[in-house]
Amino acid sequence: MTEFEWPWQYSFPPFFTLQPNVDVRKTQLDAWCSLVLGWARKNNVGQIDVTGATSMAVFRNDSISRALPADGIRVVLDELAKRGNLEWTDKTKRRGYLFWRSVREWGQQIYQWAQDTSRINTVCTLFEINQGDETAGQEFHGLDGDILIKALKALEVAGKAELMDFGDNQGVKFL
Amino acid sequence: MDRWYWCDSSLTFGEIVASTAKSIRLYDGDKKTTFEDGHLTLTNLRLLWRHESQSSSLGLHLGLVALVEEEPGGFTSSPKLILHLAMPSHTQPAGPVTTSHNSHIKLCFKQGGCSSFHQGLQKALTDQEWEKLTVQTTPTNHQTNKRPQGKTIHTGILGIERAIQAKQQQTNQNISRAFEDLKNLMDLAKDMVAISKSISSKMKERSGEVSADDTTQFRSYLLSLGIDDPVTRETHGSATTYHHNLAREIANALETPVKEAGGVMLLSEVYCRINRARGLQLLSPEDVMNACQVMKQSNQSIHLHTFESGVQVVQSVGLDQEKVMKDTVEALQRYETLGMSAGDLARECGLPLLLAQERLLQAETCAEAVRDESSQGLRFYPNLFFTRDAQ
Repeated sequence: MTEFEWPWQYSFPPFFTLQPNVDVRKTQLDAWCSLVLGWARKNNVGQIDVTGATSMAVFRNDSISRALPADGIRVVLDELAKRGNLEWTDKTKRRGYLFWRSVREWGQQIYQWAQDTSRINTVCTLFEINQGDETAGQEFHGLDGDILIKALKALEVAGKAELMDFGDNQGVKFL
Repeated sequence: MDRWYWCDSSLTFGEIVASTAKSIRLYDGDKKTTFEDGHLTLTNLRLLWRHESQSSSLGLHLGLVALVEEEPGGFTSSPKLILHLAMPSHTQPAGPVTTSHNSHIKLCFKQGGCSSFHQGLQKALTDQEWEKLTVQTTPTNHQTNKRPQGKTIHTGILGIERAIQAKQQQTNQNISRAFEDLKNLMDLAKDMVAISKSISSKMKERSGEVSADDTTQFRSYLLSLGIDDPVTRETHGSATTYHHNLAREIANALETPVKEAGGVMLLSEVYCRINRARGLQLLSPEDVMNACQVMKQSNQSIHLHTFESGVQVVQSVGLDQEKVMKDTVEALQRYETLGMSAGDLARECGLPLLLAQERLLQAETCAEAVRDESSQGLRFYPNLFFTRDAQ
């Protein structure tokens, strides 16, 4: 497993101070979001706890002795939640599930694949989607079962799919 | 402690209660007595101490009090008043103690109220009403030929003469006290008349350059008398000719120095420089500020500029903000690795610290610089978020 490649911003001290200039802050937050998601994906981090966040390696760089302060971390997490990459487990917003790709995006990818392989108006099992041979080249191959269901639910809300239950298995019909 | 005597709690002729205090303990010298938790009454003639359970009180003639001191309380002790007493007279009625070594007593205020009681006591001691009362009652005493209190003679012809003299003194005192207030007023008025004369003469000589000191003194007198300031000075916007002339003078004097300093100069520096240049007849900071505020109106070559943070500077009209920004960015780039603090910029460009700080903040607002806040302080870096391609 190769070492996670830190982006150049990680060694730039001002990166760890929330910029007051609105335009600069937008760029800064973009960089933070992609950093957090990339790091989470590489290190297989699925959950973030706000209280423990300050000690997480992604939010601090001891080589330049800088760390993102707690309010900064909160701003970054809120931004992630807004983009669909973070889902809070409870209302108090102390814990959240991290999706390096948002559930919406997964849903869109799966639907795209369904369209490309002319599976519209047919039924597939969930097993087929994330573990079947047909999807071997796809990114969502090997996707975690819970996330797959969430993605399909998102499609359901958008009116592009319908989840079904066949006793043991679960399936989905693309519309 | 032998100066106290038993008496009943009623007030004698001409006696008025001045103040009271509760929970008082009496001390003989520095030793506690058993007379505690009592009610203390100060009248214009005496001190009366009474315990609730008793009907009779302990009285102390105020004429015996030579000096009063206050002893502030600490953690373990309550505030006390120390009364230094004179020798008692022979005619004093019997008291709780016949003889005592100490010539001072203490009153311990367990529940406070010490300072206000002290004030009341001081007033009673300065008024010395008992003297007046004894003076009034002595003419009737001399017929019985009673031996008088103390050494002063109240009987016979000497007694009568003394009484007349005392009465005269008293009347004089009363009159002078009544007119004291008027005396203060007359003194103030004398000063004010002199100042107003000087101001009017100065105004006649030359218009505008009136010394600010005289006018401020005049205004302060007027205010102290409660008269509304008739000469309304500027606040914001409208200004007198004085300030316009002053603005012209400052602009003429400081145009070159400001340009030499890079087109920007702190208001505090302007104040110092203009006063140095004038030598005599110095200006108040308020006058300098007001004069600078009207500079723009009178189209001078320099004018006042206030930054967001409240810092005020005087700028040349033709100052190129772009160039200033470019200079700041260039300086920043030289400090790319470690960041630049306000002090660094000040040293680099020869600017005052406040000005350097303002430049960096301005650069930040224009997205040319980004800040880095850490335990080591506030430093600025060039805005690499924009200039460098993000990965």
